[in-house]
Amino acid sequence: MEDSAIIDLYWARQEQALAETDQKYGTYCRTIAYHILSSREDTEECVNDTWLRAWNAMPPQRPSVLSAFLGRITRNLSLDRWKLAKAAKRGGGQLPLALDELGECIPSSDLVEAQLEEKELSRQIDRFLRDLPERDCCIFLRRYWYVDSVSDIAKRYHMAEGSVKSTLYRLRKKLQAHLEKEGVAV
Amino acid sequence: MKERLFAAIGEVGDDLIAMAETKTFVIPWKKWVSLAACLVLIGSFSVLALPHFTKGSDAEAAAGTPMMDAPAEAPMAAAPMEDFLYDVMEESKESSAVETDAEENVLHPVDEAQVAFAVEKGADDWLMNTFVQPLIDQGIRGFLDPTCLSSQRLNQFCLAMLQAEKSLAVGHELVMEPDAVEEVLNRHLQDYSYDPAETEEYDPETGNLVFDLTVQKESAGVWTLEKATFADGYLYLVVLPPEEEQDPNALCSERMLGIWIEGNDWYYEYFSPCG
Repeated sequence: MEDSAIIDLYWARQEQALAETDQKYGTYCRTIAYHILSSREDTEECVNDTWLRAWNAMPPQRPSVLSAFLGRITRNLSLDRWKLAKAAKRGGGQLPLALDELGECIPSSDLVEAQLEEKELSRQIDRFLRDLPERDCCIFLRRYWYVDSVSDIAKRYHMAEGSVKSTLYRLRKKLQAHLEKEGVAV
Repeated sequence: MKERLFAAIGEVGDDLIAMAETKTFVIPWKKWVSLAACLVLIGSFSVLALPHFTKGSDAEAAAGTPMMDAPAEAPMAAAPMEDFLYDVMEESKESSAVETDAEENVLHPVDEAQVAFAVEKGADDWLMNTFVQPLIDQGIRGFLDPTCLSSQRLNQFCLAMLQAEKSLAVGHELVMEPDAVEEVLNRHLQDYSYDPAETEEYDPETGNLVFDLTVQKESAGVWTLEKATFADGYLYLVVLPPEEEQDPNALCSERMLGIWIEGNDWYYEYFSPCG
C-alpha cells in the first residue's frame, strides 16, 4: 500500500492503518530498535509504542516521508528506553524516576533554552550532512541514525571495513570542527 | 553529552534519512566493466575503421605506439587485456595487408568470444593489467593519456609504481579523495597494517588528510609499497623492489614518487637517494 493511502487510513481513524504500517514498516522499525536495545522483548514493546504514537500524531500530522517519521519515533523511544535501562542498572530503578520527578522543578525558561539549543544543534548537524558528498552522508547516517554496525555498512556500500572506519573517523572530526566553528555547544 | 548529540542527529531532515535507507552506490568494478566495454567498442571500431584510413604497411605505425614500446620481457606482457589489444593490432595489420594485397575490401569484425572475454574478465585483474604500460620518456603525462588526463577527469589520481628501469606504472582512475586512494591501495596491497585512528590526521583548515600505510610482509618478486602519504594534494609513494633485485646499497633501492595536480596539468617526479 502506498504511504499516502496508509496516512489516509490514520486520518480516517481506521485501525487497519496499524496493520498496514506494521506490514510495510515493521521490519524497518524493529531493526532500528534492535540496533539500539539489543533485546527482542524491548524491541517489540518499542515498536508497539511507535504505532501508538503514530496513531496519536496522525492527525493532525501528515508526514511527507512516512518511513522517516516512523523511524524517528522508534529511534527516540528506543533511546529513552535504553537510557532508562542504563539508569536502572546504576540506580536500582528508582533513580530515573527520581530524576524525572526532579525534571519537573527545572524552570520552564531553562527548558525552553535547552530546547532551543537542541534545535540549533540539530539544525547544524543537518546543514553539515547536506554539505557532505552523498556517500559520506549515507555512511554517517547509517552509523549514527540507524546504528548499523561497521561491517553492515561496508557490505551495504561495497566497501572495505577499514574504509568505513576511516570515513567515519574523518566525518566525526569534520563534524567536531563544524560545530566548533558555528559555536554550538554539545 | 553523547546522548544529546545522538538525539540531535535523530532530528535531521526526513529526506536525508530516506536517502540513507534507499540510496545505493555503484560497485566500483561495475564502473570499470563499463569502461572496459567502451574500450572494447573503441577497439572494435579501430579494427573496422583502420583499414579504410591507413594504406600500405602499417606495421611500423602500429609498432610506434606506446603500447608497442613495451619491452617483451615486461612482467605484465601476458596480461589478458594487453593480449587482446595486441590481437586487435595484429588483426588491424592483417586487415590492411588484405586490403593492399587484393581488392577484397573485407572487414574483420572483432571475434565475439574475445569481446566477451575482455568484458567479463575478473574486474580487479583486468583493472590491474589494463593500464600497465611502460613509462616512456615523455613522462607520466604521456603515459597516462588518455585514461587519466582527459578534461572530464580532472582531479583524479593515477597510482603509479616504479619497477627498476622499466618504471611500470599502474593507472587508476581515482577521485582526489583519501578514501579512493585507500581503496586502491587496499586492492593492491594485501599485506599492510593500517589503523586510521592512530595514523590518520585530518586538518579541517586545509581539508587534507595524512595517513601512513606500512607494508608488513613483502611478497617475493613483487615490488612493494612501503609507505603512502596523501597530503596537500600530493600522493607520495615509497616503493621497494623485491629483495633479489635490491641494490647492495639498500638506500638506492628506495624510490619516491610524487604525483600532483595544478590547474589542469598533472605533474610527477620521483626521487632516489642515489640520484
